[in-house]
Amino acid sequence: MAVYIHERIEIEGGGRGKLIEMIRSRWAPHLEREHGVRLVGAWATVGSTGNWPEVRIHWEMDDWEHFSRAQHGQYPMEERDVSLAELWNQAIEYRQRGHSMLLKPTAFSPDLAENSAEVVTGDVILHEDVRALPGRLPAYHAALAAEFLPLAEKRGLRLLGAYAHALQPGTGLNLWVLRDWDHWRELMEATQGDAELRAWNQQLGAWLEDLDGFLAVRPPGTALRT
Amino acid sequence: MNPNIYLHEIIRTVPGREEPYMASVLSVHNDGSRRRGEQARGAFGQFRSAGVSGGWPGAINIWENSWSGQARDLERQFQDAERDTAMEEWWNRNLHLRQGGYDRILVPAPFSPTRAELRERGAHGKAFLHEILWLPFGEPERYLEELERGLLPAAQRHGIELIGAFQVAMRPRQVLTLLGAAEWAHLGSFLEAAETDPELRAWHEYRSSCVARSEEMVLIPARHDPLASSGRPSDRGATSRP
Repeated sequence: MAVYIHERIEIEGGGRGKLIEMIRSRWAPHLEREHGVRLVGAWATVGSTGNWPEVRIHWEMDDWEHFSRAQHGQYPMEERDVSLAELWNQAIEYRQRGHSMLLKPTAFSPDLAENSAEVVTGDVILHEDVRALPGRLPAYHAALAAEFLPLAEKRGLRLLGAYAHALQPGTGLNLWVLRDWDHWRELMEATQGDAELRAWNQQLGAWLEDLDGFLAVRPPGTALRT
Repeated sequence: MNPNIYLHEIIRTVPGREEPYMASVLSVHNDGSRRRGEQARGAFGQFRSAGVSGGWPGAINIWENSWSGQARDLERQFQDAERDTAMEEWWNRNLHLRQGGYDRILVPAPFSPTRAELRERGAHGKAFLHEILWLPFGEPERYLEELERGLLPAAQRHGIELIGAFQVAMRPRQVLTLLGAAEWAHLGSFLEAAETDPELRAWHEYRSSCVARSEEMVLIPARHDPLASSGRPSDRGATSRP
């Protein structure tokens, strides 16, 4: 079973594009080469739908043994990985703080290799922060797989991952891939009148305390300037 | 029926720079040289915190748009071709005015007025009560129906008018409401009557039974915003016609 680290990074000033470019061109290749850690995505939070300026980074490791080995190889950076320490310090100009989540995938969550093999591509990521009622996250995930996943796939959404926090009971994360902005517009325009989605939303209270959705994007090939 | 959607922004302004920030962001949105989506976004209202209740300092921008216009606006921010360079320039030039923010996409209740309707009726105020509410799943629609039926008639008797009532896209528990008071005395009267006016008491009983969490801000309008003035000559001060 794979293990994931999801990072929420608060950006300083206009550093969002520069940090993403650094992650894509230097940081991720280094981590994969030296520690086998794979970049699932480096996304810009769409400020019109959530917190800004912000970057989200999603890393994948094979399992807990790989997680342990990769972190052992990195920390403390000043001794074990001076190249990474230098990158970390260079990035201070773009970010000074963040928050990470250590995540376990649900049984129905595809890993990076599966998503790549199925060519799951899209410009827009729907990110859902999940907070379950005490003890109800497993039941929510079961319903998500059995009831919502077929509805979502029928509407063109592809599951990038559904996760439970490894340390915080009741905290989860869902990531969905949307084809493009027209796909998002179609979904939003249809939501109010979509009886199946309304019925699903009506019953979320059986499992969840809250669900917060916002969008993130895979940045274009050239660096964002904001 | 209001067919629009709204981009709602809470801005962490640099303290003391609220008015310059709001004027600056309005200028970039009104910049005619920028290519727009098929429907240009208009300023529905701009406000800043009064420091009376809730977090401060901060500014609120609300922009009226359509789903297709919003999608086009967002697409242009994250593509290689046809970039919105005017917006990029503005973003990086004005870091001294704002530090960050938190945005939502709002879907109006059917009875929530459009920008044109507010302008037409000369809606204005000195104080605005802005609330974000967390309700049980499935309750937001009913909450807005109850607001229209149970709150608004009573609020109007105290000089309070509806500026907007919305659900929040992709956040199924949230509702956002904005009420306007032409005078601070109207807001005071409205709040005082919560315990004495039978209709307001009934509203607050319902509200207390379902609101799990709320965040309020008392706002004042941006100086340049049409909501700061009724448009009547008597409200224009020294520049008004005799």
